[in-house]
Amino acid sequence: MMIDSWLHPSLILICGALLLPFIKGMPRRAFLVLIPVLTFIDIWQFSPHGTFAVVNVMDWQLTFGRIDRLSQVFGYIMSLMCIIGTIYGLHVKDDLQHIAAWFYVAGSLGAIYAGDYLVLFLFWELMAFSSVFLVWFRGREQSLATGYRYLLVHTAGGLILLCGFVLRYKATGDLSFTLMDVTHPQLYTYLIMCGLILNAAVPPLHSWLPDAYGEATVTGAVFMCAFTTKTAIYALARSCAGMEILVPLGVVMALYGVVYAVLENDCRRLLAWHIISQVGYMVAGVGIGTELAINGACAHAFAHILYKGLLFMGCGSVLHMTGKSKFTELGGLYKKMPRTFVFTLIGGLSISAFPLFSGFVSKSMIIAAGFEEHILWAGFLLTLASAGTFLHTGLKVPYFIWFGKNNCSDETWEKAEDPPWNMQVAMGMASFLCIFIGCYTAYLYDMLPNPVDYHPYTAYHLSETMQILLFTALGFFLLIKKLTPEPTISIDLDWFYRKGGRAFLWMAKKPLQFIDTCVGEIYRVIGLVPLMTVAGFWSWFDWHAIDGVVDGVARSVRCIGSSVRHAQSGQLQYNIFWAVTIAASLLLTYVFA
Amino acid sequence: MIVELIDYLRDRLKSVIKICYGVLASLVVIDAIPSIVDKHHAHTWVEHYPGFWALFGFVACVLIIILSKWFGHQGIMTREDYYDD
Amino acid sequence: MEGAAVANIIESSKLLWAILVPLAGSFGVMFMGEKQANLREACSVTAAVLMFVTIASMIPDVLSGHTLHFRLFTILPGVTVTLRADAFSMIFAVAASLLWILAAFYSMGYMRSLKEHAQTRFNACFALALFGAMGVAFSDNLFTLYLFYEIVSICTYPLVAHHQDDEGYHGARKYIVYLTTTAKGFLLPALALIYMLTGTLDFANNISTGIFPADVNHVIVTMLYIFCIFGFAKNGVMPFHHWLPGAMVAPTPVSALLHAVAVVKVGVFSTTRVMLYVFGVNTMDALNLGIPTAYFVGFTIIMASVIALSKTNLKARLAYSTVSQLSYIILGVALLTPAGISGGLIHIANHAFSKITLFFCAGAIYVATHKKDISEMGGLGKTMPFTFAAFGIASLSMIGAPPVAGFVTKWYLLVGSIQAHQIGILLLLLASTLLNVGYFAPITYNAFFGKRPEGEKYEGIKEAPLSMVIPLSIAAVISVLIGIFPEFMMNFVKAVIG
Repeated sequence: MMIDSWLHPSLILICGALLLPFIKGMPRRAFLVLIPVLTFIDIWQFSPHGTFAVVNVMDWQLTFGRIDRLSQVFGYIMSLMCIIGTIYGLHVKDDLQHIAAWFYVAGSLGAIYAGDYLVLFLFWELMAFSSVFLVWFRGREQSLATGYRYLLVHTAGGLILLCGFVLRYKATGDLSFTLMDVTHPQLYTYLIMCGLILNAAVPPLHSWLPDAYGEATVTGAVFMCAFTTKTAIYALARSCAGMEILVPLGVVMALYGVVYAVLENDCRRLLAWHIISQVGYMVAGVGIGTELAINGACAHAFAHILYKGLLFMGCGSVLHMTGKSKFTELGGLYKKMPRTFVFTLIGGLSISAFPLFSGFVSKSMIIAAGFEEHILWAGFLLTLASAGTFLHTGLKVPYFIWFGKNNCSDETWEKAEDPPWNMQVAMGMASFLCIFIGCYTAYLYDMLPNPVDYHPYTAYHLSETMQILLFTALGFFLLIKKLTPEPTISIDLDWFYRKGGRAFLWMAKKPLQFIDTCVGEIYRVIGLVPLMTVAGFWSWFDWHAIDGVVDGVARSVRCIGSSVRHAQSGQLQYNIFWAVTIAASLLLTYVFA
Repeated sequence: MIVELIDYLRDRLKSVIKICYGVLASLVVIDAIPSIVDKHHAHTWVEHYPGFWALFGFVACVLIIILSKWFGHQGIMTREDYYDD
Repeated sequence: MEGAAVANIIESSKLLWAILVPLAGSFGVMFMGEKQANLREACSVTAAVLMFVTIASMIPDVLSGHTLHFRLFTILPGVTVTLRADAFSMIFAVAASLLWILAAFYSMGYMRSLKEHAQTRFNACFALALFGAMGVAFSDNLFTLYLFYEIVSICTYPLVAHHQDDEGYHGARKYIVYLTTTAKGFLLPALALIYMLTGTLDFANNISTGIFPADVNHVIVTMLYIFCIFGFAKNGVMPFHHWLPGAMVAPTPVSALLHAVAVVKVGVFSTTRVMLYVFGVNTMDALNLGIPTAYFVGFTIIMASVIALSKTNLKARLAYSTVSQLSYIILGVALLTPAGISGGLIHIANHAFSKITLFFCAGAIYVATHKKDISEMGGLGKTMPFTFAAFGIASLSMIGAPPVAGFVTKWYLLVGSIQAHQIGILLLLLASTLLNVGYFAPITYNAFFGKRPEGEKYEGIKEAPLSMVIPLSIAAVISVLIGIFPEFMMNFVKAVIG
């Protein structure tokens, strides 16, 4: 099909979002499903490779549509996830939540198709400012503060990115969003990387993720888990591929997430820590930078969006139906929510890279790339983290919610049952895709940016995977007592800015304000009082004797001033005397200097 | 239907566990047979040992659990209202 | 930096009309008095529209490179009262005159809803203050500038003291003492000395050369520079900024137009006019005055933002935000690079539109609910969605998020600081952006997502009257428009830089 112009998919979402409040009644649900479907079709069928939508603003050329294999694979899965997420949230009556979610996805898509850093920044900010609403809409007491922290952290990240590309613009005159020279990194290269890794939640800039995703609305979290971090991975793959420091950062990330997940009591926060862990693989993949590694990062992102969404949908259903998300308040639910259990289990098996599921054909590409480049420590450590992944999401989450000790209160037990049809349909769609990708690898592999020469279903790979997974399960069941959930929270690096923020505010309130008030009072103490004394001294000085400018001005000022019928006008004359003194002394100094 | 299946398995828990142990053992055995599992693509020499990955998985799991819990109990885990004023 | 060629000078009486219209308007208001309230308001609005039209009619000439000129009278050789309209004046004049129209409608709504007393005096002084502001905008030399600068101080005094209660007198006294003391204490001597040194007080015709001959004593010039910066205390530079929060006792339309647009802009306009057209980029470069100024006002930017964090009275927070934002303008110009100066000058307009929206909203909230404190405004957004939506948009502009107006400023300032090789300024700008988010975001999100304070019922509260909501919405929309289409104002800025 020959297409010369291109409709930016974000436009479809934004227009849909703005029209939504006007559509009521029966057509509303159809409309809610229609818009994401249209967006998906636009990306899938009507987006040929090339550069589109170039706009000239002032001195710059902004490119809104840069379409190639890399952006298409991300655009495809994101719009697909938008459909699934919207279906999952079909029951939400509040239009504003849908609008916020669609603006958020529009921001993601805009960032993915951006051709230069200014456009990227525009959509980056759009993502941050719209997703924060998904946290605020939860409406709990702590939601406000969590959203505020989220906003501040993301603004800071955006500013670091802005600083980076402004410096780059000055150094190279180039704003285009392409691969930077990662073998000779400059300050600006690092700054841009830092801005991107903040959104990717790389430690130490990661604390916002469990904080916010644990506090988002049930449907909001499904959107949030898919978009911010993956857009950041796309941006890293685009501009920082092969940057060596990303490999250790990614590995540390993968392990860090796993460790904190062991300690976590809230199931959605645990999944959030897992996002950090899985994105660590992608970051490491980008860092390795070979064709296989980039393919792996993209494939993993693709699969992750689906299975993480599925997991959040599963745990979100539990939260939606029972109002609880902590392990210490759940357990034994398989009798009441069996379908949710199966969907969550599929998600867990996918993320653990069980054969026949999507993770098996995607995550291993990154590890294989690591081994091929002989970065052996990365390969082994990432495999170790895989064991941890299965431990948490494949075993711990399903076990402690659906089996194990029943910590449910009577009320919770009463409320628990499988969620409404739309949520189940959405979960079903995601599950189907997870299995489909795992079995029919060509579906995903054909979309990857680089040619694929990887065959996951070798006997060795199968044997290796099954051994790791099943023996991890052995360890889990043997040590299950040690894993009993405890009702605690874990302190993380956000301690610094949470406590630090309070200290800063205290400092603004007490000492600084005190100083400012003092300075203000100086005018009274040092200004008025001596003024009166000096004015008395000068009162015999006949200001008629001073010719020229000062006189004329003083006269006109007094004339206008006399219309001001309040007692303070008298001070104007005293001010004049004071000023005349200064003027006189200056003149004398100048003349005699 | 799902519930029935799960209840069926739970009632026969002892036999399910025996089957699982059997599967685990056969995995290690299969790994040792070169004609089924072809290891010449392996990147390191350790991988040629049969059951290497089984040991790796088990040790990894145990390590993660023990180390993380130790780390947590050093003071990272704290009461739920720690940040509230 | 190349200076522009000598601009073509056109004698035009439009300048005279531009400043006489508000003067006439104020007499008209006084004439109509309390008895004919509607005619009186009509007078204000008519004067505002006429003034805007007159100024708009000057735009084509100015944009094609000419400067309009009109001499009123001569006092001494080299000391005259003369008016000029060049691209620099138009930035301020266009923004202020357009906003006066919006403010005229807004103050009608505000004053009538609250049934304020002395509305005639209010409207008359309002017009007089605009008369002074336009005089400043169109000054051709330092003497005229100083004259009109003082007129603005004096004419706004009754506006600040409007409520005539203890608080009002207190705030007004602080206001007038700060402004007139600094003006007479610093500016007058500076004026006198400049006249002695150069024989003229006229502004240069471009931003590079300044009016000082090359052989003037450097120490004296530096001292004069410092006197001018502090003398124009309306620019809100610390430590002479206290008049601004003190003036918040005024009714909100006063705060809105005058203290967000006219008075403070008179201050920064005068400061930057003097920096560029009396001292000039070359002199400032040679004496190394630019970067130290930038860091000096950078202190104001950060400190004022931090103090704003601690204030819970909405107008106080907005006042300190204004102090901070004004220093952006001076910082931009002090960078002395094309992008920096562009950023500083365009902010005169961007800040005006956004800040007036914020003050309009504060006033609307007060009229509808009698609330002044942010902690009492939880959940209010549901009953006053337009007001708080406009507040949110204007906050985005202050923060500098695209696509609102403030982003254009931020971008130019960032590029400008890099052009000047000042990474410290870059970091300062980024830090202050974060602080802006810190104190603006809670207001909006608390209004929409927060809980109502204990025991508060919001029955009977609805949006403020249309005569207030419409101007504030228009101002918010314009903030977005000039963010997406900055070319309109940038044309003037580009003409200034040459």
